[in-house]
Amino acid sequence: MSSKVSILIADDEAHIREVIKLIINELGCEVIGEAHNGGEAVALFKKLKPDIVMLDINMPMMTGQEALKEIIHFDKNAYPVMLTSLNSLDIVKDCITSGAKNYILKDNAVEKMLEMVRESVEAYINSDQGTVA
Amino acid sequence: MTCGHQNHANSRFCTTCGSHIIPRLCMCGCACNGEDKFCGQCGRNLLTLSKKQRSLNTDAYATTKRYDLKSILKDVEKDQAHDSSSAIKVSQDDINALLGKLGKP
Repeated sequence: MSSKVSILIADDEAHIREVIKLIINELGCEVIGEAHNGGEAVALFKKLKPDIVMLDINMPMMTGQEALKEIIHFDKNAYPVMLTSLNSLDIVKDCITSGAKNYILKDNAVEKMLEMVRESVEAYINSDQGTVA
Repeated sequence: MTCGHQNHANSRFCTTCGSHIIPRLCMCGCACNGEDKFCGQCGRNLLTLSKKQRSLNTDAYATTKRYDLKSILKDVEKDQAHDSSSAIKVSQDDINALLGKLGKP
């Protein structure tokens, strides 16, 4: 990669953000912002324009599901990836049809999560939106 | 307040019309001011609490002047159990298959 893929993380739990940051750094990407709730995620997305935004769903003020829709409404070329423990089919379907590019469950082993985040980053780079390949 | 007066957070009675201010209990357990729209602890929108949740809060408070957190939590757990049993759960493999069908990575 000639420049790093920039990623915004949105999760209300600090220890989860730390794990995600470790995974992202391991992949050679850069965390350019951290949001603690959905509203903050939307605001930071508009301000920082990250390549990828990783959204938890259960967050205060505004859920990741709502934030996803606002982000896609703001930028239809956004590259959101859901990273959550919610595994209800309705929620998964809603997120995917709303524009989530990937949906990763938090109950995966860290190695599996790293692999799935890597796949998301590679898919982003190979997509039309990817500008850092 | 029906009189529209904005009271202090700790007020139990309206300082203008004298009516009793019933606190609003959030699902996180935080007792919020009756006029609050959002919980100061978890940020949940207090106006969107279910009718059942609201009546539980006010009924319990009206009879004892204290919230019975245990009974409220039991009811919330029951609701959540009902929600989760009616929802179809999927695994990461199912999600990947769904994403594959839709041409996503």
